[in-house]
Amino acid sequence: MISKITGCILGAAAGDAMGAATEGKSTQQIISMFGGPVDDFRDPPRDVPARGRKAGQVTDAFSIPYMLTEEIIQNGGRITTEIAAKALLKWGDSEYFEPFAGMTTRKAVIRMNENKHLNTWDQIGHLGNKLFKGHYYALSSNGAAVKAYPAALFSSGDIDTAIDNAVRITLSSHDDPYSVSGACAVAAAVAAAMKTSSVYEIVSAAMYGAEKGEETARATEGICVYPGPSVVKGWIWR
Amino acid sequence: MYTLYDRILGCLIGAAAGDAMGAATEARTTEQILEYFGHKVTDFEVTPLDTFAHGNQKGQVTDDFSSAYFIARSIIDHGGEISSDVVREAIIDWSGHPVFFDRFAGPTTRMAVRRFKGEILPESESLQLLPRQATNGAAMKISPIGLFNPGVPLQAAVDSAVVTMVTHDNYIAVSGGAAVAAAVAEAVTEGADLYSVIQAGLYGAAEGERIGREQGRDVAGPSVIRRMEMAVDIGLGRGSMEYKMREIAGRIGMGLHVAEAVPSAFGFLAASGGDAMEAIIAAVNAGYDTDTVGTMAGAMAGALCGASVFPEHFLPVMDEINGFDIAGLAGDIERTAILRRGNAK
Repeated sequence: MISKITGCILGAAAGDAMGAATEGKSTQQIISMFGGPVDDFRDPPRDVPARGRKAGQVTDAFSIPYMLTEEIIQNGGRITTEIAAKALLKWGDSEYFEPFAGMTTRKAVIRMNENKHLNTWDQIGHLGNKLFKGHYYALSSNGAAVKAYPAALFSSGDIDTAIDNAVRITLSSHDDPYSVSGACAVAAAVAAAMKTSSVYEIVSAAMYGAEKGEETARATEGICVYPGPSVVKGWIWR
Repeated sequence: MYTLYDRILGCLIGAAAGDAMGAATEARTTEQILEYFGHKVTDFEVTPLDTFAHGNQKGQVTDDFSSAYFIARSIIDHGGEISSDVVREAIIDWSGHPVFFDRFAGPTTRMAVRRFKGEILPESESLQLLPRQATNGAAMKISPIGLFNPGVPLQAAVDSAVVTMVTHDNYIAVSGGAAVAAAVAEAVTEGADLYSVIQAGLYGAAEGERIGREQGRDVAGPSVIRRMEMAVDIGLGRGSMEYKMREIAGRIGMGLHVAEAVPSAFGFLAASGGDAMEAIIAAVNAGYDTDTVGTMAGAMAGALCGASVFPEHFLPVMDEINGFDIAGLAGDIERTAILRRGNAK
């Protein structure tokens, strides 16, 4: 199990660090910038959010779950929405916040800090009601899924435990069924991968997680239902 | 009996009606639409309090059709010239109307207007927004470009690229705009049918992508053409209209991204079999950016059906409440299109 856990954390960190050099670019732009596909750490070019950082340095995508994992360990392995929120607040004070925080996460941290200084996209989110918010946030709400794998690392490979953990973590910053669905898909897949190397079993777990996560979220009080395409499939006949 | 005027008028009524009907449902899910109205939206409705269009009267349009209207007028006033200058002038003119611009303009169009007015945007802001500029704000206003090029989808695609690049200078947005313009150019012809309109749309998307890659910026994002193929598959596949509507919303998406909104509009066109009211009703009840998708689906299907398929009150209600003369615009577009054809020879 320890080598699986190490593999998970290492894979997440490497994906973030390698992607820091290519974020926002098309495949064509990546190839012409680096002379071919990126297959190792590269210095981020000047026109990406990670500009000025070194090859191998991570961004928000890894630093958020890393600090979350530390927080969970300090709390003896307990995973609650409050613990996840506390970890996010600490992250909000780190060097990663200003250059990297995405729309939803930035707003969540700002709300927790009751800071009124907002940029354009935060303002859009603050301008009005829930429908207005959903309209823009559904464009970019992967911040929940990116910090979902720790939910599985503390589940001893139990898929349902990982899903429950992922729901609690997600609700610290995101409030819609699709964000929860995406996070639970990742958490369930990682939990399955702790016990098996079968791609079929891992993908099946992800499908199960996505569906169960969406259902759980829809039944949660205070959840905001926005329009948007489904994470798991097309129309689910109920 | 076929007349070009009737098809042009059908396109304009369909686009305006899709916008005005969608104004009441925008940003809701299908469930939230059914819950609020108690039924599917099939006519003009009073806009709910929590929508962008709150305060609009029944039949009042938003940014989608109003920007198309201003661009069409500007092209007519310039004797059929479709150039960056003519489009920029029209958009600046349009942005001076708070009833359309202040309340409704989307993020990419807003940025473009700030640039037109000489504002230098901070680097961080433009960097942050670059991948998000492949939005549907160019395609929403592109249908008149098809009307100025009846029967010539290629020229419609070429001209639409000029219009799109003024506000959305990336190849994905150009591809989406060209798909709609080329489909409309085909749909107004006497021999057009659903198949030929969809083929013209796919052809336009490919031409638009090619032109956009040559002249516009590269941007990371999904392909309009591939997504159109997926949407048309759903539209022509098995199942009821209701099922297809939900499949398109769930799998293709109804969001601001041009590779969601344009393919979904084609999906509803295909699912309706070319019936304009069916296409519009599916689009405005599918949830999310319903007025933009409704505008595009209504323009294409309306151009194929002609003006007589719409309820009789649609045209007078929309003319009255918006201060438009849509039939007059259709006549001017027809004259200008014929003038352009003469000039081309």
